[in-house]
Amino acid sequence: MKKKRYTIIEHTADIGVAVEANDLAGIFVNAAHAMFDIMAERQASSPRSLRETINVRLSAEKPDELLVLWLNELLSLSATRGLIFVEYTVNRLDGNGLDISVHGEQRCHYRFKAEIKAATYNDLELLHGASSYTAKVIFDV
Amino acid sequence: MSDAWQGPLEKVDDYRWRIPRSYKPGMRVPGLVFADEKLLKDIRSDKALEQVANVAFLPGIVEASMAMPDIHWGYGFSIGGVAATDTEAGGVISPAGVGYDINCGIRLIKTDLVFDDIKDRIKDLTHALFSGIPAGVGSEGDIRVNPREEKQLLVKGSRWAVEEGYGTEADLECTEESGCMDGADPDAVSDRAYERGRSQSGTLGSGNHFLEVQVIDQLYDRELCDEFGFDLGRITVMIHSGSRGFGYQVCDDYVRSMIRCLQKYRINVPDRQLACAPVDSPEGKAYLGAMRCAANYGWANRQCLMHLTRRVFEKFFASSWEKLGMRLIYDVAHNIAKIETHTVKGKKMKLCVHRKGATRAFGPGQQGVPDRYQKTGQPVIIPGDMGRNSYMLVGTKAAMDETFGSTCHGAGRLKSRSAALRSIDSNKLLKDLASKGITVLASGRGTIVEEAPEVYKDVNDVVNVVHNAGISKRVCRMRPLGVIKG
Repeated sequence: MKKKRYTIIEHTADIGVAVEANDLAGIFVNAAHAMFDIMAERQASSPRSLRETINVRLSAEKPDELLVLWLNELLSLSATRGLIFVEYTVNRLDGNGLDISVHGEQRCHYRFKAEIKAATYNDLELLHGASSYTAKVIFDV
Repeated sequence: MSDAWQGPLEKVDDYRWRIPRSYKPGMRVPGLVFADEKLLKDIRSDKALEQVANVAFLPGIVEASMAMPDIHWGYGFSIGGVAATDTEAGGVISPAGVGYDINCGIRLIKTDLVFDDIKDRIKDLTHALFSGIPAGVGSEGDIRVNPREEKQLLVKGSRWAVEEGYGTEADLECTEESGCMDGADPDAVSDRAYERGRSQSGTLGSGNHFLEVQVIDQLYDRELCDEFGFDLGRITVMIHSGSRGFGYQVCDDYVRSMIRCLQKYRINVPDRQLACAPVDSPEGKAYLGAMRCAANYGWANRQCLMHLTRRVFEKFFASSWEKLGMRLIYDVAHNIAKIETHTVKGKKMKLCVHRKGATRAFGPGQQGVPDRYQKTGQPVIIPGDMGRNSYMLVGTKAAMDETFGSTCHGAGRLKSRSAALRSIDSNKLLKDLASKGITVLASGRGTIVEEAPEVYKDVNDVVNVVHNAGISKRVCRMRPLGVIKG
């Protein structure tokens, strides 16, 4: 589940990601990894740092709306707490709600590549195939 | 890039194209695209025109879902979109018609300096600006506000900055809405938005935001140039920024809540990102109140950025900004929704005008235009890319008649960020720009590549369309000398 599986979707003004995973939790975690990979990369010279953990609980009417809500919550927490999230512990996740512990490092250990303003509902997809899940999210950058 | 758009486009004239209502059942009005044949080729290459058709579904929309020549694929609305809804006939307001960066906008500052004064010091001046102005992702500035002050900032906009000593009354007069929209409701703003906004006032941000030192290289209308005091070789400064994380959070909060409104008010739109609510509904009123707070934040931010710029110039040239003649020409918002009265088919209507990547372009004699510009029309400031040009135009009566007093907002993106990163070499780009006498400084090299001239349409082509279509009028053109980016 921790393996990062995503590809970048070309978009004229913005940027998107297509994410694949064996289960719904994998989709949420991989999409979060993809988002922070677009935003920042760890500075090679930066020492190991203490991680801060925040518990995120959210609910939504539909699973794809929950995905957008989750990503925007992470963006918002990243901005207000000054953290880049690197690891996720899924305590509970179903189509309508989640409880995930997110672990972040201080932003000073990172070099910023792009500012993501928000995850959008534009062309949003979350599909359950025969043996895996796929999702597509467009970010406003 | 995705497949080219295959929908119908009917030629109205050399600069206007129509997407007929019949294209999609549910369109309440046609689409109207301002472009020429050359620009249209690129416009058709992504989903922007499909978004123009989607916007035509909005309840209460009048006349047409419009697209300016800098149109490109956005989310919900295309960027470069204009849509007006009738507030007295169930017309809606949609956060997607404003965007996440509420009141992203631009201001133009004139100076008494000429090219010869700075031609040998451009690099040093650009470095001084880069050190003096906070820029970059999540950048934080020295102009910080406590929670009580933040509420004041949201209600007063640029006036808050002027009261803090970051500008003058004349600056307010030369800002759209005098830098403050009435009806801002701090109680409609979430705690999270307050938190995100607190440390970011007076910061440029990143992406396509910039501060640019420019020189006027072309005059188009001698009489208008004389009115504004523009001549060849004069140095100007352009600042492009918005409401930063505060605006993003306001938009996110309300897109989320308005998705529920689609069901509640039985609104049928083809894209959830077009979530909206009637302007006079509790949800619509709350969004307007919060959006106006963010708009005021944006104006206060650009006022603070101008103050910091003046400070850098004062130190660099060892003279006061007043002696350097650093006068604000105008500040325009290009991501905003406003309640305005326009005449539609001979009838005065109270409309909610969404300008998403579009600039207000009110003509001469129009209410809302500062007294000093009543004769010329409202200044319209159009930035290009870091290697070519930017423009100043004025609004026209034709814009009032045809586009709810609106025009384009910039060059418009052509190439995705990832395509830019794959195909452009940053060293070669910087060398090319340097050979044109342009110094560029940014927090990251990636930003420079993502914002390279070739990822944008040629602003000269875009401005050509709005000028020839008559929805704004060229005054003068600038070329960049020193650019700082986030």
